[in-house]
Amino acid sequence: MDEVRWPGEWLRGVLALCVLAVVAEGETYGYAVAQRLQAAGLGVIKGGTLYPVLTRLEEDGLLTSSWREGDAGPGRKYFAVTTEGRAELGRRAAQWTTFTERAAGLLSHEGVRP
Amino acid sequence: MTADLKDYRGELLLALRLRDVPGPRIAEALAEVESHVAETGEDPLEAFGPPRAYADQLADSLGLPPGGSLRRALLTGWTWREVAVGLGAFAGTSLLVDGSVGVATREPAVLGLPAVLVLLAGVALLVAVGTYLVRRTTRDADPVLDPRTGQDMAPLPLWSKVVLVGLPASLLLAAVAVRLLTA
Repeated sequence: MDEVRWPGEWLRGVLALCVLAVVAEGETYGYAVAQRLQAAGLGVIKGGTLYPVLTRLEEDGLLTSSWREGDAGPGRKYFAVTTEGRAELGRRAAQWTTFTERAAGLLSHEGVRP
Repeated sequence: MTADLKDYRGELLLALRLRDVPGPRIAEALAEVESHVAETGEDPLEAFGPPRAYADQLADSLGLPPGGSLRRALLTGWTWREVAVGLGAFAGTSLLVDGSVGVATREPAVLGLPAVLVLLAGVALLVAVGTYLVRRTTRDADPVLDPRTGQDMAPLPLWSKVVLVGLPASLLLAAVAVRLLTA
């Protein structure tokens, strides 16, 4: 897929949920989350956008973090999902799916498409 | 650490302090920036945006109240204790200088008081102010300790301690030396 730039407000709405989903796939660190989001087609997420989201998720008790020594360099901060985080992800993902289906239903009418 | 990263870290630290972000959170943010740019090879400014804006984003994500400007904090954020400390430091320094000059020149000091007395009063006042400041900053410390190593990420540089203690001490010694040499 070409390098897409989604409207900022769309990303703001769903980024936390997507980050939570990526961490729920398995313990991971900041840059790997950004790469995973990009590979999924959500575009490039800068550190300045990503870390406040991770911070918020941790503050809300949905993630935990721990620093680990890297092979070289200043170490990595690994994030893991909590039980609460997994439950929240399930709820919100289901809600989001319903929401986007409804929006898609509205947008797929004849006359909306070019 | 590159110069860019060091500057960025310093500015981010100040901006986060101004938003009253707790010390441990500041430390996490600084370590995250360091780790991320080491991983990606990006410029910190490119990856995280201007330090002040990034600090605002982080503080907002923590649900902290919006911050005022540095200028406003400097103009209005004074408690009477801080004013008293400032006046005490000024008075102590003035007495120390006046007393030292008096001791060196064998002249009486301010108000015709004996120079040695004025000098000692200045030293006492400065020691009192200094002790209060050290106690207060130790008690209220919200240190920024590196989550990886436990080291202080914003230590008071050695030169500042040297200047704070060394400047009054050398003035005192100079006064005594001049007095002895002109005996």
